Amino acid sequence: MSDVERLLEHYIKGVRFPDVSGFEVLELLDVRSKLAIRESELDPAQLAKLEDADGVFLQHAPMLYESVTELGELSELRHRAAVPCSHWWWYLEKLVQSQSAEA
Amino acid sequence: MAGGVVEGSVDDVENRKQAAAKAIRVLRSQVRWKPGKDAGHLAKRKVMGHLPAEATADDYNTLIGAVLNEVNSLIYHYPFSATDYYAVSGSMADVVWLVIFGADGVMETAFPPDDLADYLTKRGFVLLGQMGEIVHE
Repeated sequence: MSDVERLLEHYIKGVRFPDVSGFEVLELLDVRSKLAIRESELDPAQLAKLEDADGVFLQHAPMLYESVTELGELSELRHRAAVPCSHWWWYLEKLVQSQSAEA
Repeated sequence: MAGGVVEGSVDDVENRKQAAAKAIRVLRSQVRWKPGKDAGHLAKRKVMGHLPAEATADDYNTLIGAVLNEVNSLIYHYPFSATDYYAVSGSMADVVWLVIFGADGVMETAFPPDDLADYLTKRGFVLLGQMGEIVHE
């Protein structure tokens, strides 16, 4: 299994557990960021799997947000991790806010 | 030495070391989880392939205890949340695990980060020192 395949498997499996611990949610966000950097290495089937996993991520956004905010302000967590603003998965507060507005 | 930064006044660091040692002693005597959380953690470890499918909660807790009893394990403090968290990193069977717990000696999680040094740096964990230097039995 290549490194990018391993990261994809990690993300697909990890996103199924949104409420285990905020510390693991942060690891999941790191892994999604690593996948973004290496997205060009994914074939169409792998990209489809990533899209499905992102769908699960969005479904679980409220639980992911609740878990991670126990560890501090998300804006500070993003700052410490030097997150680019293009990495939407790190903006859980905005995703949750947007979902609440749509409901 | 893996990840983390060293900072804080001498008194502050000494207080953190003592608090970490106290929590580690509690966990060494018994690995305790928040009510109902242990099953979810064990299930995730199996799905992620970190533990074999036949592993039990006792197996998971034994691994955690081994990391906490290893003199070469490293102890960290996470200074950014309302809850005071401590962490211990240590190798078991060539896998580096990170055990995270509260100052009350209750488990938060234990998992092998994809890249420990990167993980600790990005979170801002503060390195307190080596297990053998901090916890004296």
